[in-house]
Amino acid sequence: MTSPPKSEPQPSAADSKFPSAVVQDKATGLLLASKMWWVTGACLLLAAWLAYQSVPETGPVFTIAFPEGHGLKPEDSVRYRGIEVGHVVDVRLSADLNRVDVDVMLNPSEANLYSPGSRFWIVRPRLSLTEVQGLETAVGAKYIAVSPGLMNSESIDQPLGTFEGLAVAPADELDRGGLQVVLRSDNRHGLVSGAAVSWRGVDVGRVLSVNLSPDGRHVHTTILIERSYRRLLNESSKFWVTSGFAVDVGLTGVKLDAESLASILNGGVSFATLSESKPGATIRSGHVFQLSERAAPGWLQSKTAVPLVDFALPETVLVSAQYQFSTLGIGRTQTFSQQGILAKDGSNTVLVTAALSDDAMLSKNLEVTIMSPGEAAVAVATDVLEGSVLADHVSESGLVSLPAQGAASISLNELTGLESAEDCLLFRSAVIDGEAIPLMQTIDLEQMAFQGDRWIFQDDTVDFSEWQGAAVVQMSTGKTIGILAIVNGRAQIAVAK
Amino acid sequence: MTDTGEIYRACHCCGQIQQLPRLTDGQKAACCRCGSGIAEPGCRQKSASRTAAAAVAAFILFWPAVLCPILRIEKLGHVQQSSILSGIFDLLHHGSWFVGSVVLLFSIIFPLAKIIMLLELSLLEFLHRRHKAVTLRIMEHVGKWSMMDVMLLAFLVMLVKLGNLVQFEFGPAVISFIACVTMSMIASLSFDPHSIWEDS
Repeated sequence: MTSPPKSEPQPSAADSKFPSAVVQDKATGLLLASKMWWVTGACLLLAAWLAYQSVPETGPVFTIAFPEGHGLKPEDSVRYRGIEVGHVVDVRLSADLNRVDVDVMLNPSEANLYSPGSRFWIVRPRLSLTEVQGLETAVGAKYIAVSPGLMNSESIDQPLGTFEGLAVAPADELDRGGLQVVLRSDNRHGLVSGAAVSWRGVDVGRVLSVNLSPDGRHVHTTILIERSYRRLLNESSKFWVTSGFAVDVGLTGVKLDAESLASILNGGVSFATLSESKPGATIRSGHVFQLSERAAPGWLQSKTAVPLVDFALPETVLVSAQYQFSTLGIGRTQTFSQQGILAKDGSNTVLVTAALSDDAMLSKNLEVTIMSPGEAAVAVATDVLEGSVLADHVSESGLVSLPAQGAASISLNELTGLESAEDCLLFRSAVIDGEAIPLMQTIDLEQMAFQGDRWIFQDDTVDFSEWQGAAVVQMSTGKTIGILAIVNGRAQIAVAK
Repeated sequence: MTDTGEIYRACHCCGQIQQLPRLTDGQKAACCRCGSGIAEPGCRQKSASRTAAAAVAAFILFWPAVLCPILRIEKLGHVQQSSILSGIFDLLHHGSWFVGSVVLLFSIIFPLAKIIMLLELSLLEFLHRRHKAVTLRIMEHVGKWSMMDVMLLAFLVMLVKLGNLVQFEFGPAVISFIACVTMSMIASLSFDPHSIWEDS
């Protein structure tokens, strides 16, 4: 027997053949037995929490009937604008074997997408000679894309029944607000879906589908003209095929005529508009045009101006300034030019432009020439003024208004800037061979940021230095709301005070 | 218990047989050789209660561990999510009868049987001790083959091996699985077989 850890053995154990166990003090107070039950309680809570966690959030569950399953599986996602909004619960064949019924559950937060008119289609890889779509689904999982219908949450309580899934992505999803018209021809002319529709060689749309007319005598080609180019179409528009290429072998050599490599492979359609559109006669989706096999001689030479915007272009002027400065006693003349517009200020006409360079502001003998665009660029006013006088005319946001002569169609106090970010257009003019031409630049609302008290353009792909003083036009109303001024290297909207 | 009213006990750790002295309140018996605690007759309830508490906890946690999704594997955009039970059914469904039934037996049935038997031994006072002895003997055999902890090791190996190939994350079942293994180990460790033959 080893030495006892604590107290001496009890006397009663002395005469026993076994040693007596040691007596120790017990951990008092807390019952050992009850301690463990706290852990049991904690485990119960944990289990309850885990069970609660694993109960899936239930959003609307509904069935979409697709003509083709494309290998869709349960757990594949439903996406809207590239974000997962739900998942596939089950995929099964319909009872009549004609369709694939896909049960879909949307996330509760995106339950709004479950609404009448929502459209669903399966995104799968599509390869054509000119473009690749849905490449991520070639190796990865397929997914269902959704385009929302009417977003009213009241109707969600009532079952909407089975949705009819689309076989291909809806055309308008790819370009909302485009114009769909039908071209009628005697032959397919090698056109395939996805072929380009071009205006003077610029792609402004594409072929959506090629079908036969009901009586089988014609080919109906549905094309989509993108939203921003829909004004190019009017009643007098003429369409012709630019598929393939023409080889002309003559005494002088071989002449090869082709639009582009893509049009050789995929075919293509071109169109020209022969006369200006009549007011009120707009082309709606579904209009039918005749598709000719080749262009009539007059079509290609058509010089009809078709404005891409539905408002009058702002009358921009070119401002060129000349000033003298001296370095080390040697006088030099510096010339520069920028954009501007004429505006009414009460009964006077003023030239509105962006602030000139600092050197010009400090110089004397600043000579400002305003060139008005028109058929020919004409200098309309030349003023000699002192640069320091100019400094008094600069507004806080970098807008300069100078007294000028000439007619103006807008008023200075209309230049109030924007309330919120909106799509804008910039207009400026340039002179080519003595003729002034308008130039346009689109600024999306995503490219704008409100900083301090003014709107900044954040488009690194555009060199705004050429647009100094250009008119900024609100796309929705067509009103000139300011001018572009570059302050501290950043393009911003300058407004009148 | 002998005729003289003296109580003899074997130390559960070193096996030393020793006489248990009479204890007053606030005292407990310890082995004279190794110093580990010796359960006194009056304390049987506490040991049983402790075992029962752990066994009940293990029993509660067993269900989320088996039924909740334990793994979520994402490979090239394909997402697969499965619980232990659904994984076993998948195995059986795909014709792997042997592997499926081995996993079913050793990670579901045997662990569950062990937990239930522990519950029975610790909670049900009114059973005859002969019945309890049979249960204890079965439990001793079954317990050797209940291999939930081995399964946990398998998950760990998978994590190390597949880490770069596929993207996968553990589901909520892992937490309850670990807790369940811990609680069932505590239950079987704190169970004192002496309590079966205790008449008091």
